[in-house]
Amino acid sequence: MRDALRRLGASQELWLGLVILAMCAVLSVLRPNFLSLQNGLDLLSSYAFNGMLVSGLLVVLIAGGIDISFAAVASVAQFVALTIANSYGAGWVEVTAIAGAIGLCLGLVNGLLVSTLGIASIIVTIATQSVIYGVLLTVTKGQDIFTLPDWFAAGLSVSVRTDADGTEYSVNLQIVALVASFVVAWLLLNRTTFGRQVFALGGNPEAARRVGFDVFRLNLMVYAYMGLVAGLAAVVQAQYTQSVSPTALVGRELDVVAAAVLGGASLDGGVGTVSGAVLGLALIAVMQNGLALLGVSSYWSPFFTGLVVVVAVASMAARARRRWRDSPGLA
Amino acid sequence: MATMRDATLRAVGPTNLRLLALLVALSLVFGLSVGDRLFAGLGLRSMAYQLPELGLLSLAMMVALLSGGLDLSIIATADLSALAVAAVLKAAPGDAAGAALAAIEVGAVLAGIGVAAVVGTVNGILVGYLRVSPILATLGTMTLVKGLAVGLTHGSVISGFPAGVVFLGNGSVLGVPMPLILFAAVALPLGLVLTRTPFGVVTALMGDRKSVV
Repeated sequence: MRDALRRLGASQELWLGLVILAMCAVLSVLRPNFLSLQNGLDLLSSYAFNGMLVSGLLVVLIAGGIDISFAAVASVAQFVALTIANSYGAGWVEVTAIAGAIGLCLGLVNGLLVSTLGIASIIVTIATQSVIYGVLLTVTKGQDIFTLPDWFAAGLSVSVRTDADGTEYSVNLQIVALVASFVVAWLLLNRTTFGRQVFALGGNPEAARRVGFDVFRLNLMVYAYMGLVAGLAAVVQAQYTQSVSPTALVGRELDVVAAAVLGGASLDGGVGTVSGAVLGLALIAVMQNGLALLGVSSYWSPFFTGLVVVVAVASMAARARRRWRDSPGLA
Repeated sequence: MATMRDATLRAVGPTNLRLLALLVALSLVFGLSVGDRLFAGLGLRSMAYQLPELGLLSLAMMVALLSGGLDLSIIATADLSALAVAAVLKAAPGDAAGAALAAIEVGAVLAGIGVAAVVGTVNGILVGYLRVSPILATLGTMTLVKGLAVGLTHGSVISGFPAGVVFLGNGSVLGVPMPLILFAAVALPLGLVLTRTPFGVVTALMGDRKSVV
């Protein structure tokens, strides 16, 4: 019993859950509209892009790598897919396929470079981010696309409830995509051979190689998956903001990395859970939403995000050290 | 003769040799295509004023990399440090002159360096004592420090500094741009510290393999 309690006390998910609950409790007392259905749906839609990327990045982190280029990849996918839709006419299927394919290909390039160059993945993907972003800015000259096809601007949504006064609540494309991306990541990591191999690769690459895993192919698949998710997230984001901007997405990397890491994913690889990543994302979303509802200037939002990340990583590290002291060799 | 060449090659190192070769190649390519502008006095001067800033930041990153870490927060720290300088200058009475003004300027620069040192110390505590991975720790402090700077200024620009502070970035001594002098004044002692003191050697060893230290 005590052991079970101790294990529970050491789990990242529990701490995150408690912090989120406490924040929700305080916020709902101070701002009653925080717990409204509409605020919940808005929150889910606005964090769909970041959330989808967190689900992709989690796989890369567990495999022992990191990808910084996903925002640049998403920007390119968005731009190309909607430019084609605007000039040649395309439907949902084509736009999604084009964006996904572009993401997948750029992800493959990342995977190829990471596995062949023998350079740390953070350096490789910082480099590809600069190249991809540089080409995008040159081609687009930094111009946004404001006119999107009507069917795209209208979006997809299902009404789930209508209030007595006629207010409609609907589940839209963003929410469905967000939930789907986490479900797919969970299935991939926990129910497939690929998932087991990813954990093995991140835990000990040399051991994974000696056991006979095709480490090269595995790396390609991991980064390709991240790219694919980035491409799909780009479509979802473009529909949400109703515009395509080559510069709007770059800079999101840190929020995404922060959410995944808050959820307990280790940069050393081999460790991470989907539930942790969801909670990490929820923590950042609730905090930023809460600050906005409380009337704190949005200029201060990055400061608090940084503060939460620093406090969280420091306490995680402190707990890991305590665990190490209690039972050396098992941490 | 051959031994001397070997010794020189060893001292320079293969990476530096490759970089030098690349520099020569680039100089040839651009020298032949736009050499008249690139190597004119004006082109060289503008490089001498712009590059030392990047150089100083690279020195900062180099020390972190040498120890086996990485510091993502240096740019944000530099920004916050500049804000501290500006804050002191703006808070000081505007009619100060002579020795009083000099004292304010020196105080402002020291305040900037102090703020940067505080951020660096926080990074050091996170990485050294708490064993947070350097990427994570500095990612956090980068967001925090950048957030602090944006929160305090709301993203606006602060300008209008006394001549003494402007001189650090735009002045020149005997025709040598001040930024270049500052870069040399930091790079040379740093090189000595890293190669000739126990601290420097231990830092490099730590990057090579922590358990050795």
